[in-house]
Parts: sequence; C-alpha cells; structure tokens
Amino acid sequence: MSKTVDRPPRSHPELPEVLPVAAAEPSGAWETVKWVLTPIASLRLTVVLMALSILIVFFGTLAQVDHGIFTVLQNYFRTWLAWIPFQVFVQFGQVFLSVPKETHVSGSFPFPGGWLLGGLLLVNLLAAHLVRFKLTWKRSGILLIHSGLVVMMLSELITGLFAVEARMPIGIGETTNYVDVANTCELAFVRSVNEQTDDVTVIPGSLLAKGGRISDASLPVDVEVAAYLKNSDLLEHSRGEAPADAVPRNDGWFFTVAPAGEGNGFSDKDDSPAVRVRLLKKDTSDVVGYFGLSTLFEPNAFGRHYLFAEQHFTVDGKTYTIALRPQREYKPYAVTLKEFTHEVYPGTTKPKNYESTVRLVDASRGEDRDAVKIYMNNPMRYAGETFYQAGFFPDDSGTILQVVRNPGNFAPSAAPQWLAGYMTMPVLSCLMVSLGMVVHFGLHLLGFLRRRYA
Amino acid sequence: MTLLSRLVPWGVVLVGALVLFVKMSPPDDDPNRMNLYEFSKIPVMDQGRVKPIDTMARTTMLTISNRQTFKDGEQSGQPAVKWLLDVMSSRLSEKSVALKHEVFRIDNDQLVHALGLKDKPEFWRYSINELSGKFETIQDLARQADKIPEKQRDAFNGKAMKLYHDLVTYVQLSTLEDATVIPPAEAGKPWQDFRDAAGAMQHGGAESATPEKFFAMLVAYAKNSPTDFNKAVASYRQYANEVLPEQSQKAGFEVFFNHFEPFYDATLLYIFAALLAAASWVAYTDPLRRSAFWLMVLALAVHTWALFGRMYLLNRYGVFVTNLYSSAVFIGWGCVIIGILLEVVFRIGVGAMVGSVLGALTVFVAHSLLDTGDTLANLEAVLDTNFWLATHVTVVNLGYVATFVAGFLGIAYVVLGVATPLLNRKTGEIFGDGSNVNAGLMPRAFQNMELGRVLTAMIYGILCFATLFSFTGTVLGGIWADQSWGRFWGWDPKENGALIIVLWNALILHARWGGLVKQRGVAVLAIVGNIVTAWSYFGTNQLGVGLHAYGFDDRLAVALDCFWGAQLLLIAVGSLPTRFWWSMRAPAPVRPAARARAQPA
Repeated sequence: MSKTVDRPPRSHPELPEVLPVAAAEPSGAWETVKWVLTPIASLRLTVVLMALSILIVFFGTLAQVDHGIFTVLQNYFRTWLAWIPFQVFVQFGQVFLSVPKETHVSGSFPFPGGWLLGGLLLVNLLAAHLVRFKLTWKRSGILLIHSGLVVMMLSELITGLFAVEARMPIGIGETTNYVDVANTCELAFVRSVNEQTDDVTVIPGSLLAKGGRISDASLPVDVEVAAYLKNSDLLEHSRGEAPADAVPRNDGWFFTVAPAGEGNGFSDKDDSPAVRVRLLKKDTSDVVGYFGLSTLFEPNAFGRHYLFAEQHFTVDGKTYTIALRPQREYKPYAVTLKEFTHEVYPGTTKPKNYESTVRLVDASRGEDRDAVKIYMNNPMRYAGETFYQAGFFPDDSGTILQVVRNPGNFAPSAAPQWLAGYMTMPVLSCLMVSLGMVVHFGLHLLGFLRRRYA
Repeated sequence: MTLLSRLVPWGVVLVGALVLFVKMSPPDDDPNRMNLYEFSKIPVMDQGRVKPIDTMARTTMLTISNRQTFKDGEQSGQPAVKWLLDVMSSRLSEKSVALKHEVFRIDNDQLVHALGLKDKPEFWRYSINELSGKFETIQDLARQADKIPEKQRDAFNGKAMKLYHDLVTYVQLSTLEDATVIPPAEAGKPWQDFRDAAGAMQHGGAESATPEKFFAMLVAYAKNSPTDFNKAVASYRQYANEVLPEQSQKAGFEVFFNHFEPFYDATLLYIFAALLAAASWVAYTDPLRRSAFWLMVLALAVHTWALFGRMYLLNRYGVFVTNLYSSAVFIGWGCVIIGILLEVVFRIGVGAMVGSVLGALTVFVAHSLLDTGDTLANLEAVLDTNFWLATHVTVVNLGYVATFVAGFLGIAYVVLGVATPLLNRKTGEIFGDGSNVNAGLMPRAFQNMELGRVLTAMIYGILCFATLFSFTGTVLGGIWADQSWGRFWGWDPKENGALIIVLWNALILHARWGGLVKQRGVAVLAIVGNIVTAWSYFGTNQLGVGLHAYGFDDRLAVALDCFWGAQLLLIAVGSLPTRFWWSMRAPAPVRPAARARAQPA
C-alpha cells in the first residue's frame, strides 16, 4: 500500500478531516487497478448517486397517486431505466399548489432506475473500500456501516427475486391445504372425476396476459383471450336486463366484468384481474363458449359473503367448470381454523384485536401443532413460512392469513418462535449499521471532546 | 457579574412559575354557582375509551365547531362541558339555551348560500335556531353527496355530509341516545347508554340507580339550581369513585390536564425564551441568555410532565407517540432537549434560540392538528404494541428532531451571516468578557473560534445523530412491518419519505467528507433537510389525503407551501455570493475572512 500523499491542509480542525484522495502515479498492477478504481470510488460520485436515488424515490412516491405499488415497483425501483411522466409534477402541484384537477401533461423523460442506482452505489462503495481500505479502529465503524448496507441491499434483492406472499382464507371449522398467491391469477378447468378427485388444468396468468390463442394437449379446449384486465370491477344487472354472459349471485343480482384502474399505492386492496375468453374446439373455429371471468367471482373475494354461480361448459360429452382464481399453491401441511375472535373498542368499529386459533398438521414432517394463536404482531412460523393475521370474513365466520416465504429469513427451524422473527437479514443489517454509526460517531465525539477539553 | 444580572434569570423564571401556578389552580368553587369543574370529571364511555365528560364535550365540540369553547350569549370563552350540559338537559326545560348557541361551523360559502344562511365572515358558526327549517335540505344534500363516489366529492359535498353528521350528533346528545354515560354496576360488564339504562330501570330490571343519579344532575342543571346541582354531582362522583376507582381517578387527572393545558403553557414560555434569546444578541447579553435558558428549562419541565401525564392516561409507559398530534409535541420536546444540551456546551444563545423556536412551532403544529379528535384515542389493533411504539416510533421521531434542529441551526448560520457581522467574529468577543463563555462546559478553544465555525461544528454533530436516528428508526419500522405482515419494505409513501431523510442526511455527511461543501454548504444543505423532513412528515400524508376530495382540507397544504417557500427563500439567500454577506465583508479583527470559504469546492 502506498502512503497517502498530498493530504490537503486541515483547514477545519474541529471537523473530521476530509478523506484523503489517492492520486499517486500508477506503478505496478495494484497501482493500475487503483488508478482505474479511484474515479469510481469518488465521494463526488457517491453524492451524485445519492441525490439521484432521492429523486427516484420521490418520483416513485408521487407515481403512487395514480398507480399500484406493483407497477411502481416495476417501473421505478426494480428496473434499470425508469421513464418518469411529466404528469408526476402536475400531481404534486394538484395536491400542494392547487393546480386544477383536470390538468394533464403528456410525455416522459428517462431517469436511472432503482436497480441501476443501487448497483452503482454498491460498485462505488466497494471500490472506495478497495482503494481506501485500512483496517484501523478509526475506520471500523465505517466498515461495519457499509457491510450492513450491503447486507440490506442483498436482502432486498433476495426479497424481490424469491419472496412469495400468499393468502390463506379459512372458515371456522374448515381445513385448508393450499394458499392463494397474491396478485396472481390462473384460469382453471376443473372436471370432477369422482367424489374425492377433481381433474384440474390451469393456464397461468402470465400466459393469459400475453393474449392470443392458447392450445395445449392438457387443455380440453383451445382458449382465445379476447381481453386481459389487470384489475376489474363488477357491474350489477337485474335479472331482466342481464346480458348473456352475466354471472348470477346468491342474492339474485347478475354481474359482468368491467375494467378498473389499478389500485393505487394508498389503498391496501389487492388488484382483481379479469379475463374475457372464447373457448374453441381444439384446432377448429367452433365456439364452445364465451366467458367474462374475474377473480372477484371467487367465493374468497368477498370473504364468502357473496357466492357467484359456477361457470360450466361441455365439450366432447364432458362437463368442465371454468374459473379465474388466484394462483393456488398446495402445501404438505393443512391448517384448521378452530376459533376466530374479532374485538372492537366499545361503541366503535375500531378493531381492538383479531385472533385466529389454528391447528397445523404436517404428516410429511410428523408435526402437529394445536391451539396456536395468531394475532396482530404475533405470527406463527413454520418450515420457512410465516403466517400472519391479515383479515377476516365480513361476518367473522372465518379468517384470512397472510403466508409469506422469504429466504432472507435464515432462522433454523429449531430456533424458538420469539427469536426466529429476529433472525432475518434486515435485522442483521440494522444491527450492523446502527452499531457502526454508534462506533464511528462515538469515536468522533470522543476525539472532539479529547481535543477540546485536553 | 453584578448582583442584578445574577438575579434577572431568577426573576424571569419566578414570573414564569407564577403564571403556571395561576393556570394550574382550579376555577373557584363558589357554592352559589354550579360547579362545572367537578361535573366535568364524571367518567363516561366515548369513542371506545373511558374519559371524563369534559374530554367528550371538548372533542365533540372540536368536531362540530373546531373550537373547545363557545359564546354563551354575551359571555365568550365558555367551556365545552357547559354546552354539553345545555344540550343534554335541553328537553328538560322550556326555555333551553342550547338552541341559541352558535356552534355549527359551516366554512363553505357555497353551502352557506345553498342553505340561505347569512354570511358570518371569520366566524361561520350557526345555531340550531338559525338552522331550523333547513334540516330537510341538509339531509337531501348529504344524501346526494353520499351517492357520489368518494373520490369525486368536492368540498361542498364533504361539508354538507359533515353538517348532517354534526346535527345527528347533536340530536343524539339532546335525546341522550347513543350517549354511553352509565357505568357498569360491576367491572367487566359493558357501559350502557342513558336510554337503555333508564328503560331497564323502569321495567324493573335495574342493576343500579345510576341512571337516576345521572338524571338528577341534568334536572338540577335545567332547574338552574346550583345547590341541587352541586349536591347531585358530588353524590354521583362519590358513586363513580366506588364503582370505578381507577378510572375515576384518571378522569380527574385528565380534567386537570385539560384545564392546565400544559403544552399551551409550555409554548408561551418557549416564545418568551426565544424572545429573550434574540434580545441577548442585541444587548445585556449574558443575563438575558441565561434567563432564556432557565425559562426554557422550566418550560421543558412542564412539557415533560405533560408527556408522562399522557403515558399515565394511556397506560403506555415509554410510548411517547401514538398519533400525529403526539408526535408533534414529542418532536418539540426532543428539539428543546437538544437545544438545552447545545446551550450547556456552547453558551452562545443559539441552542436556546433554536430549541425554543422549534418547541413553540411544533406545539403550535400539534394544536392545529387537534381537529383530528381525541388525542388519547385507542389504537388500531396493528398499532397496539408498546414495544414497537416505544422503539420504532420514538427513534424515527428523534430522527425528525435532529434533522429539524440541524436545519434550524443552518437557518441561524445563514441569517447571522447575511444580516449581521457576527459570523466571522470570535465567540469570546461577541459574548462579552468571556465570563459566561468561560464558565462550565464551554470549551476554552471555542472562545478563539469564529461563530461560523462553532455553528458548523454544531450542525455537523447534530447531523450525525440525525443520520443514526433516522436510519435506525426507519429500519426498525421495516422490521415491525416484517413482524406484522411479512414485508420488510413496501415502498409505500411514508416509508419512502423516511428513506429520503436518511439518504439526505447521509448525502450531507458524504459531501462534507468529500470536501464538496464547506461551512456554508453544510448549513444550506441542512436547511434543505427541513424541506425533506416536512415532506416525509406531512407531505406524504397529504398526498394520501389528497386522493379523497372529501375530507381534503387544504389548510395543511397551504401551511406546507408557506414552510417550503420560507425554506427555499433561506436557501436562496444562503447561496448568495459572499460579497452580499455582511459577515464576509466585514474584516475579522484577528484572522482574515475564513480562508476555507474562499476555496473552490
């Protein structure tokens, strides 16, 4: 390692010294590498990247007035290049500067996306440590802070790539062995084989979103997607005036599917995708049926409060049920809801507590947990998955659990429940960074006090 | 130091303490007048929690009238509980005054004209008598508004719905419906509203004589008989003490709290402290500065007592913040503590100034947030965890505290630099013969340092704290979210706002370390921190609220605009070339104008 050269004069002895910038002539391989890395490691770059990060976060916040969080994630944060519509500034003006509600400006400008900025910050950080690396007490805090930040970035990456959020609605007394993956859908064809067994074929939502004609040997028909809606509403019709494809509900009204704006970032409602399909006899243009289906037709969409008639069609003498439902994931375990309580503060509708008492049986692992209580801030953890109290049926006849699998939570299965919740990458990173700052700023403060009071 | 200058601070603090003492003492208990103060301690169940009837009256009136007092005939400033008594007993007397009280606030001229009411600029409050004959119109307007999807409602629709709702509240109170004022005869049973309880009593199923006792107070009040009223109140209070000992005690404390208005009193003291600190820069430096300091300490004592009083009432020790209101008063408290600490170390009046200004400002902000209702309201199930409230919420608010203090120190730097010649002078010279500066913890070295450098050192130190607290607080929030619903980071507006604060503080520190900014740069960037923090604190909420035209109140947006505008102006001033800075033009007596500032960035 070369010695630091040309340390700038310490013009402010009361402030921490300005970091030395290595400016040596390249000599030897390391020096060449260093010569290359030095500009990448510059603090000027750090500051510029931080400023750009602040801006993209700000734009991504404004964008949530109009767009769902998933769209914003894709278009602003989990992308290399973001296109920022000029309309976000108008929206800021509408909320804060009384710009008229109708104002609309079209067009957009490119801006580095979250992945690009995060990646560059990471490169900048690593380069800085390579160039200026010194293992001294004085630098230990910085090292801890920055490694903690790397852990956090990795954690976000792992979450973005691998974490799965799903819902598990269970009525009181029912037992469920599958979850509905959030914000997904699949078109399911179900044929009853006998009393116990159904024959199920599904088309994943990603394929439906592409549109066009879908043919596959395992499907009983060819499917032509006329329209795919990211989010949908239901239109109400009375019996007399209902169109042919309207679906009856248990209260006598009929419903058809209508497009809806994406849920924005301020509502906690999931989007309800919908699809309009034409079913054709395989490799022909003979129409078997015409369906407008939404995940809102699923019994769980309204917590079993409303039930819509199942949709059937018959082809080659076999009858199938067709439904658009959230993507189902079957589990090796089954959860039984034994009890659900929903307390409110007296005289109000403000929730005081929701609590599900469940039994979890996993034959594959020989596990049987009984009378587990799940309530707000007290989830159940099992086999890498966490079960949270997320919602309930409108008449309190059942619960909705949120089931999350995140590989960033590294607690071994033997860890006790109370500890397992804290054995996660964010917690680790938080500890590292906070401790690092305490050390770094503490050393500064000590030095400051020593100089001043010596 | 002369004796007089020694005594001045004590005199100031004594006057402050006297004011507090006067405010603390309960109103007179003349037996020939109705003792409303005693009545206001009666515990009732309202909005899901047991509270004194005083708080119920105040929050109801705040909703309806946006005030906690009203004008009774010629007498203004009458307590809300008097209005409540007038309303509750209105059916018991033939000439009820409740109909005449002008309390229904209609601050939408479109609605005022639609109802054919007369304009009352600056006041906009109407009585039942003025509204009589228009009830059906109001109901129709409210129904029409209700049919409009929430997002498309305008202010007129919103106000019509609110007025209708306020009238329903009034009717329910006057008929004693939906007023759960009757405590359970034994613990664990539900409270009853007056009608149900009285009905049960008449049909022989009475569990207690409570409704009768409650009714006796109203009857005595309606008869305008102070002796009977005071007797009935005393009897009821005694009964409540027996049935609900703990809750009655808390109700009594809460009434004292409401009456004392500790946050309001602290604000007054902070304002005086700020004035004294400002004056200390002009003349009579040391006594005034110390007066400001000790007055601030007195105000802080009141402020602290009030925060812990809230914890006692909420039964959540260690939890400072449960809603936006309490977060504002907590932020003020933190700012004052930092100000006092700065003043202890750097005895130059800047800590006192910044701390007391922020203390007063935040409590003022809290007060204007009052119309959100009961500040001690119960928490939603998801928030009902003392652990996270005490950790995440406290720490994240400390992050706001430190960022604001740094920002206001930045303002002090710019103002003192542009408008005074002091920035380039040594603190020892500015503050007299050094007798004060020398004392205590003030490091000797600071006397030989220019004010500008001392200020920058303060800003830098506070920014380090700001970075630590805002980062830790934000991440703790993520961990809480992970515990609550399995998502560490959701990129929602509030989280993003907190992230921006962390990034901004880190940016200033890195810019400083990289030598990109010097003293002036740090000060100006710290002022930008005020904009960023206000965005995170209010802006993101407003963005959410702004979605719903109904309930959208643009007062907050206007206040934010003003605050942001002021900060932008200060930033612009702070960025003026140094030849416009008085401090930079004036040659420093010992050293030439700071070299560092002249260096290219």
